[in-house]
Amino acid sequence: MLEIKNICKSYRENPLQQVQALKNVSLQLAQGEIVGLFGENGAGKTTLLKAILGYLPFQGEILLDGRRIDKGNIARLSFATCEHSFFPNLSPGQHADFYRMHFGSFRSERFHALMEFFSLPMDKRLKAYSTGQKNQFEVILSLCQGADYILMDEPFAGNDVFNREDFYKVLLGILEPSETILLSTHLIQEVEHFIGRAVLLHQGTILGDTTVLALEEQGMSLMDYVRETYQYQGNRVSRALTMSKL
Amino acid sequence: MKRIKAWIDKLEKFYPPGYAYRWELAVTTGLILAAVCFSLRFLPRLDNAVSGLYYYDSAAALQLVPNVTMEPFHRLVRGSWQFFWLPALSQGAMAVSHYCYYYRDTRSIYLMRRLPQKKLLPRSCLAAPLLCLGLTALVMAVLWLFYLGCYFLAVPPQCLPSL
Repeated sequence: MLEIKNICKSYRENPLQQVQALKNVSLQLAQGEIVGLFGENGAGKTTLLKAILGYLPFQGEILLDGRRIDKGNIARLSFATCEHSFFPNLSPGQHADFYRMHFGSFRSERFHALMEFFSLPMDKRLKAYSTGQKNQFEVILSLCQGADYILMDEPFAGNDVFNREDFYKVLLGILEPSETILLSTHLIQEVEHFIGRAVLLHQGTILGDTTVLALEEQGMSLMDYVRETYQYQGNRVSRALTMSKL
Repeated sequence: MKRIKAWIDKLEKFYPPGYAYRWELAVTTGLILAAVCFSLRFLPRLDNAVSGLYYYDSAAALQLVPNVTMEPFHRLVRGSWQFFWLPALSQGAMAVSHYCYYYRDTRSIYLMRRLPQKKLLPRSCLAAPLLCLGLTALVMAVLWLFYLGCYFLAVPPQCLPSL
């Protein structure tokens, strides 16, 4: 269980202005869940993921099975980011060696299977990969580290829709019941059938937290839920256009 | 040649993964060699100082100047280490460059900070610069011993300054 308790994080935008990126965020992720983390740009999604991984100082507490996250249990978390966290001058094969050396539970078989599925060249340096290939490789590494909690921050930014579809299917096919995914994305409709739970962030606070099953029972799509929770006014564009014509 | 190449390859583990360490090694080696070359100025200075101990008598024979004392070694050798600051100081810049490497092109710093081995990140930034600093100090020590040997060989015992 990953427990996030009353996390607060503020940034100083300039000497006079302090921005509250996360305000008392509390969340629990049980092992095996696939959770979508949604929110507008600047809602605090990336900040939350970075706080979990210990990349940012914050107020509050984050516990992994009742223990603070430190070097002793950090290997139970992996991270795929659109900024990419691999070494650009190394090849995938060299990355596999590096991960094997530092993460005892690295999944070699899964790594080779995914590399083959996405037809990624094993000896080419990652610098020479296309953006889409880099994204694929970033996600492959996070899935193969052997972590129980896989955090993903916009991992498919730059990939085409077919590629993303492939990924969702592969993910559902390969994930073990103990593996948890926290996926931050804007692609709400695309991930609807992939996730089991949706968490909505808005201006640093959790605005909504529901399961996809509960939404189905209410006959509601994830997009409708998001619109409703954010009180999105569908006619605001036409209103703005009418106003501009006047 | 193969053995040198294999030895250089072994140094890879002291640098960040995928870092262009050969270039950096070449720069450090070049700076150390330049410092050594500059430091060799000691030899003509020693030769000059030793020449001052002698004079030619009327029969054109080389004679020691009576009661002459040689310039102390530490004073003679003092200026020989000036350029060693270059390889030493450049190691600080190289440590910074190693850390910045984790922010270049990608954010591999995220991976490094997530490793269970706490010391790997500081080690990859500092190990090679510290090794090069050690090498620089070793070269200086070897040169110092060599110069001291030259000093004692070249200076007649009766002209050696008292300690």
